[in-house]
Amino acid sequence: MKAMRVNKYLMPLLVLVALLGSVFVAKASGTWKTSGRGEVIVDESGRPDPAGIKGWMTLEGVSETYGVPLDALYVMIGAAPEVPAGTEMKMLEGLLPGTSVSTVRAGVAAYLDGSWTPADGKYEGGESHE
Amino acid sequence: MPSMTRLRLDFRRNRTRVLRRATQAAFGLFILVTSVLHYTVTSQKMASIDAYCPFGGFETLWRWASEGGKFIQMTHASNLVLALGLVAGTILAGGAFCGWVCPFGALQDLLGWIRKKLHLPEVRVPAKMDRILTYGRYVSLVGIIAATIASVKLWFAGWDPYRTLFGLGWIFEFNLAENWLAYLVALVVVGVVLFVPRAWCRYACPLGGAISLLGNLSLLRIRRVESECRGCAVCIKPCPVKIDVAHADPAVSANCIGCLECVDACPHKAALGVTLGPALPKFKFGKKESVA
Repeated sequence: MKAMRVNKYLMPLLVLVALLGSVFVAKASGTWKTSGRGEVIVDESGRPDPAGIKGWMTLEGVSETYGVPLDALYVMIGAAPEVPAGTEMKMLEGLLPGTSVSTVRAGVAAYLDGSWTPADGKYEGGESHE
Repeated sequence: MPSMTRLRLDFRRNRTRVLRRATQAAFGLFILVTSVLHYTVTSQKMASIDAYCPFGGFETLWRWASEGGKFIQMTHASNLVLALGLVAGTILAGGAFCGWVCPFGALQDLLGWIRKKLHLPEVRVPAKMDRILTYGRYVSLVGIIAATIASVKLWFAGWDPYRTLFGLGWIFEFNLAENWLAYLVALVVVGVVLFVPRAWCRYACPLGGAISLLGNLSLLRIRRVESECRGCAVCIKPCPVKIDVAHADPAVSANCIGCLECVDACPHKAALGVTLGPALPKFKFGKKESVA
């Protein structure tokens, strides 16, 4: 079979149509999803995995999801009691220099495996468990 | 100020390039705005750029298929949808995703433009070395997919230069102690690409590796008509990925990014063009395809 010459712009056009078309069909059928918000990531044993702590999660949400008392969470990140429980993880760095989502992930992991307790004061480990 | 007639003439002459730059800019801007909103808007559901990467679909596919629809962390249904669209698009029309859509490809084109403006030298990789380095994309593809399956997480995300640069974490959440490797990899890649055109695409991109493999099946290919070709080799120079278009036999390499620069450059229009032909796999491992 001999190759047939076509308009050169068909090349990018078909790729764009396939790409955007798949998005359109997925949106129309309700399968398009770009966020895991509301989903809890669990580890192999079925427990919530601290690596799943996201920037959009609030202090209260982390406390409830991972079973870390809110008071302990405040001690862990060195937050004053005035910091609202609805503060999102991604806002922490601005409020508490040196504290980030990664710090909370590592701190919660340390709390869960027993290597950190509120009696230890602010969590100073920097290792991410991602 | 150039007159409207002059602008119209320039556009007609550079229509393909203008259209391509506009498309690249649109997708690049979309990704950058997504990143900014992800960090700044707190009250709405703002996705991260991870959700818009087709390669995430390839990475999460194994888990999704083997564990009843579960996704690897940071990937979502959107990744699978985009991967599916990309596979369909590549089988239909080859690697134009890399040349027209990919923001990282656009950034590499921008770095090439900067190199020219600064009169910096272009480093030409010897053809033999280029051929060997091209396999880096397949190593990267297989290695990353295997490591992702084994670790059940986005193993590559921590130091993926595309994610580092376009995710804008280096602006909004700069953390040298934690992300030094990601910053270092991104800096090295930017440094290399500044001197070696599209080096990431040619030698390391795992998605480019997948597209190149699928591109062997594509229905639309740029083909050279040997009987019409006068062997001037003008088509070689503008190719961003340094494919030896002048010796295409007859379809150009599946490494083609569909930028159409070679087609526009060819002074003898019957010699080179986009054609619809049989999708016969013609893998050319080991054969010279590049003029680098």
